[in-house]
Amino acid sequence: MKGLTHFISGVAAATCFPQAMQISQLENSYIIVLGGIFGILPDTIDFKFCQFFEKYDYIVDPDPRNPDPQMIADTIAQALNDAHDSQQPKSIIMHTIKKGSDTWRQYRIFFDIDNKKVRVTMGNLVNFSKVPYPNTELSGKTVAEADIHCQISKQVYDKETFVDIMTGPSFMFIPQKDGTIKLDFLSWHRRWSHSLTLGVYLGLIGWFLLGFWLGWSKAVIYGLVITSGVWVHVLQDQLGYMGSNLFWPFTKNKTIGTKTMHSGDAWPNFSTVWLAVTIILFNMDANNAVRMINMPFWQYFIFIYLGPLALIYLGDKLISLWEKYDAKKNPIPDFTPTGIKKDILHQTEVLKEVEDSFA
Amino acid sequence: MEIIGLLGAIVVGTLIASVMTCLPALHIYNVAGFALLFALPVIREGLISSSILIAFMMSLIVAYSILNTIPSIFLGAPDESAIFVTMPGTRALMQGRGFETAMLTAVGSLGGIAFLLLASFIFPYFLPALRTIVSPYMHWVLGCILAFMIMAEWPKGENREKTRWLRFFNGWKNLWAGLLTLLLSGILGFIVMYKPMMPIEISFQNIMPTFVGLFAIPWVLQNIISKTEPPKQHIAESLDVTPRVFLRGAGAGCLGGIFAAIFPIVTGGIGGMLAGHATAQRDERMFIVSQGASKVVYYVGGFLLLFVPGASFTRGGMAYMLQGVYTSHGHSDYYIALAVIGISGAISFFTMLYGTKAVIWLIGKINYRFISIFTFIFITSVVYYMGGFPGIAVMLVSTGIGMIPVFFHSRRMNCMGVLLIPVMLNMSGHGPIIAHWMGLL
Repeated sequence: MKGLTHFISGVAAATCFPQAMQISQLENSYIIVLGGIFGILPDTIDFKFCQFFEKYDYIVDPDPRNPDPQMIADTIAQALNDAHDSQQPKSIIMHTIKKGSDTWRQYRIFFDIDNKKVRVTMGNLVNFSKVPYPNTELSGKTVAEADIHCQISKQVYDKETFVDIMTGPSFMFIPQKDGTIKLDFLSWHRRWSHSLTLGVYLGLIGWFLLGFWLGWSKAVIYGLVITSGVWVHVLQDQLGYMGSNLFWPFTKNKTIGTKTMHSGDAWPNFSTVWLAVTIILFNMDANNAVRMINMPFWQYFIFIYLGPLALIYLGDKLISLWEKYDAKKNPIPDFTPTGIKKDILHQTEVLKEVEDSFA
Repeated sequence: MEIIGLLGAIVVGTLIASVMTCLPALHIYNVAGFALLFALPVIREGLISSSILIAFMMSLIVAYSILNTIPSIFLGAPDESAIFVTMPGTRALMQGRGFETAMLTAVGSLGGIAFLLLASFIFPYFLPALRTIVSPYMHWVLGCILAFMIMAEWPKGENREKTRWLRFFNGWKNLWAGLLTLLLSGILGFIVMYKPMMPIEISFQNIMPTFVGLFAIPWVLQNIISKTEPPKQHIAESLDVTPRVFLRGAGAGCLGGIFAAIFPIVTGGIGGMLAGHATAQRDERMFIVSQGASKVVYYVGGFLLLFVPGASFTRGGMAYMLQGVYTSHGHSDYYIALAVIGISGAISFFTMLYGTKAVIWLIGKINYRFISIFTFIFITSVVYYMGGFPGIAVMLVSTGIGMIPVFFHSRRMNCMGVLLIPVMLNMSGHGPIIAHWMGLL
């Protein structure tokens, strides 16, 4: 989910504690803001701290003046083979090729699982929006392959990776019990930081630290607001593809997400933000001396949340129908090979989850 | 006769704003402030009816909110609400697509105008209730915006350094710079609010040198130093915008704009940015359309709130200036304001079309660096004319803060700490305590 979605969901969760709302109103406190801060904190930990402290066994850093696709393919294959031979996880980072202040040379990495190969294709120069500049193809060798002597696990996502702007992607190659190698994309993301247990720890720390200052009973509310913020983030992320390590340190591996939505997409984000605003307004009103919402929650929910959302959904569907009709009338040829379309889609789904943080 | 007077006020207001907006750094609040100063005796004599006054002021702000894209993109001198358009706008300018980008914002603005006219029917029922619900919690709502601004700035390093600590420090460069900008802006905001330096007779322009220093001067200096020369601009005959891009962009912009119009201190740019996050925008065209809609709904909607029967919010500089001389006439004023929005919006769209072409012609004829130098001199002169040396001093300090994001590639939005921090702390009652610590009280 987008940062704002996590943030406002944490705020909405905080407003569900009537005591927190009273504290915020009577003491002009900022306690509700804590819900938002801890709602976005798991991604903050990963993208502002963990990614820098990850140790990489292999680093791919192509020469900007003369990028060599064969060198890239060989290094990746070597890392995979090393993980297999040593039966130890090996990490690798693929640096981007920066050509100017707003220009990068894009390259793609394709893991050919069936033929046990790594294929690297050099692409065009692209700008910050990842839009390619025309006629900027590399002259000479642009595609290279390297053999791997191990089997890559069937992936939930990710067979083709685009390396273009800002920080390049990283992988952890993890040997599995069945002898295959699992590709863990952005391995530093969603480990301990995205666990329900961390929410409990942070809530306890908050309660303990604030207890000295505010008194133990009032500090409990602060602790609950902190824990609920983290939990809402972790649970929301389970709806996507990447999953997380839910019960660190009791569990070591990431679970796979429920794949019920693409967490970078407009609908899940918008509907969640709208839901959060609906809840926040209701809770604000419920704690006011003069009430403006004079109806039960379910009626209010239909009126403010479901009704407008249904209307927008209907509008969206009508536009989609019109777009389909228009596409039939004025077809645009699709040059993407059918075989790899599914894999590209999966890669996109993972990137959407984290792209906000990169940007 | 009254109708002719109204139409005349709309046309004159729109045309004056269209010309003034193209002059960099001249905010419409400056123009309106001086217009009011001159018109005050006539208003007190009762020679101008309140309808004419509303029509004139509303058409000023409608035209400004649509046309202020022009100085933002072509002269690199944005105001606090158009700051988000400048980055993609300048990029497009350097690719010869400045006209297309400017017109995308204009299309978004038309969406914003349509939204205001359509939503005007529910405003009298919805806004008074919303105001009652939210008022006791305004301090933490602003606190949430501030916290999100801080936490949603992500590292921009390339993770390429040899040691982990070096990677960390390099990645955090822009984050530290962002925090520093926010903190310094906040301190500056306290000083400007508690110890105003502008002469008392133009105290309504108090914040102007600060905004000019924070937002306009750094862009202009950047243009002068970098010696950029835009290529020949392509005058597109059609826009690459599908119904989905338009509706999603304008929809998000309207949501963000109305949020900014209702909540104090939140600008159209921030509102648009938040709505962009909420609707998971990716397409740059969609972002530009949304910013066009957002700034119109923010400026015009904020002023319109003064006339909403039963609500009468005072939001934005124009409303604060007018409330001293204006008495509400209920629904009739509201309907006049809505009619002005429609008519002035339509005229402004066309002045935008031709104004953009005129500016493109100008930058094709005159060296762009020379235009930037002229812009710099003009801005400085305006600030000197309004605030004298104290105004220039405030502008210089603000420029120092506004240059931090330029050097460290952090978010320019952090400069909004100048308003967000003092106002948020004032709302929670902590502002005077901090002002006292700072020796301002």
